[in-house]
Amino acid sequence: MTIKPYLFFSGRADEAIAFYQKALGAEVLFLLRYDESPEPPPPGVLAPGWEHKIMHSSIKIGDSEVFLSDGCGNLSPGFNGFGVSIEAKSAAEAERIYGALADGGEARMPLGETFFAVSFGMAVDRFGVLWMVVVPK
Amino acid sequence: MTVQPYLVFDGRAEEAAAFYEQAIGAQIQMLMRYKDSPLAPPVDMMPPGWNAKVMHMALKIGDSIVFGSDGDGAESGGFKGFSLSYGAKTPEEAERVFAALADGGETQMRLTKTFFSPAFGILTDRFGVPWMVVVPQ
Repeated sequence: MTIKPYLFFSGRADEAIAFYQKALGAEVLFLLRYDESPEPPPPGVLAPGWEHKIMHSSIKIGDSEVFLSDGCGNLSPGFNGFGVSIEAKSAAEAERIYGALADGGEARMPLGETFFAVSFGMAVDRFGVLWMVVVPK
Repeated sequence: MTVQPYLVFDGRAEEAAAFYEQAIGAQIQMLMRYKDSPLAPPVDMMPPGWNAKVMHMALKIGDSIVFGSDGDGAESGGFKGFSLSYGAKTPEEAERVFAALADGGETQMRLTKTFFSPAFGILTDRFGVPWMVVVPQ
């Protein structure tokens, strides 16, 4: 049994996937658009123009899998109440990841040594997703 | 490199940990309160009594780790833009987990057979955490 984070990008999932491919070396394992689905949502559920948006996608980041979707429309964009913790193997890897994620986003806490980590920092990426980059001690 | 979800419970982290222990067999691997941390914010920066709140915790749920915190005492405003995807091994496990998580919460979509899964459902638990329970095909 496994638990995976599922993120909703309100129409920017394609852009997000391309960004995570470049920033984190993410690999697309699966991608299904609404207009390719054997069971499209009932009429009225999807926002107009949403037919070619991403219904479900799975990307691999390092050893982990993350799910993404555009959701059914741009009704309630944004992220709140959670973050994604990304564990790097070395301080150098953390630096690279942190820089890439914060590019176009916002550095919340620059990488630094803490009592629990060789290196720890927080950044919000350009899509509003909060990332915690950590190299555990 | 691994990626894990990190949830902010606004003061209910301990209650949430106990609930996930009982509901889905979570194990508390680590739990640190602000008062036990060498890196806690000054007491007058947090609401009264927040010193005993959870600064960081790690829950093992099946093969996965989920991190949690009470946050810094500022209302974070609930969970938005994401969901936790619980991959169950069998429809029976999915039924059990769905019912346990939905107890005291809200069911958005009952477990149903879909083109991509023998059992898939959507709920929000009593803490407002959105879940998708799925048996992968």
